[in-house]
Amino acid sequence: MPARKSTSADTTTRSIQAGLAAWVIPGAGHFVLGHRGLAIVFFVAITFPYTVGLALGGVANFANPRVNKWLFLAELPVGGYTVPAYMASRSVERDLQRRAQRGEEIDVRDYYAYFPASDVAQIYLATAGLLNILAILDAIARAQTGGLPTFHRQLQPSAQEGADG
Amino acid sequence: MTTWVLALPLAMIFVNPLPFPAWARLWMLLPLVACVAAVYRATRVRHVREMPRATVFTFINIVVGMGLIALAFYVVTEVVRRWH
Repeated sequence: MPARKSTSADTTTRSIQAGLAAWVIPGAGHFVLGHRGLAIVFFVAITFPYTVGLALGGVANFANPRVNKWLFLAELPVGGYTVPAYMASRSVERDLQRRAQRGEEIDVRDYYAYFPASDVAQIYLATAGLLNILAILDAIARAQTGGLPTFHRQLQPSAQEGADG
Repeated sequence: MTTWVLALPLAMIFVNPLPFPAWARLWMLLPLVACVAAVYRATRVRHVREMPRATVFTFINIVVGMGLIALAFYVVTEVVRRWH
């Protein structure tokens, strides 16, 4: 009985670790669990759209909850990227305010993206965030089932047997 | 608080938005669909070696599906334009 309790606690701890790691860096949850290949896939497939989105949109507008709170909410599942991006956004904002107070001329196009780049940036960032929700849930599922994916009930019977064995 | 973040080279890449040509907008669908297909398939396999074929299949499915949806909207738009 105590051994069973300890196993359950281990599973819970592993799930929390995997979920948190996946939230900080996409794929890190799977890496912690030993699924190195899947970790690389998640890392690349989520980091790429996030990076492209932020590079096209710029941090000033696209990691700023005061400008677009819904987009920021969608980005939050990639916490390890969104938190530094938000800090950078605040820095840019303050820097621009200071320069405006000094009477410097600022070309806002250097900091803010407009159509069509803004559309693409928004779609890429939101998609990256939502994809990382899948990655987090999958990491938690694999931590709890000993390596089976989120949709393990739909696996072929042979794969299921292999997983159980 | 402000300048240390700006001093990070990685952050600087994202301070000034990259130039983006208008013609590239539609083509940006393809890499995004590839990422979606990869993540979706990764949540459905036990091992990464099961992924390549399934990911390509999902990628084609999504692109063809999006194309058909776009075509349907185009047809509806044309019909509405001609009748009004």
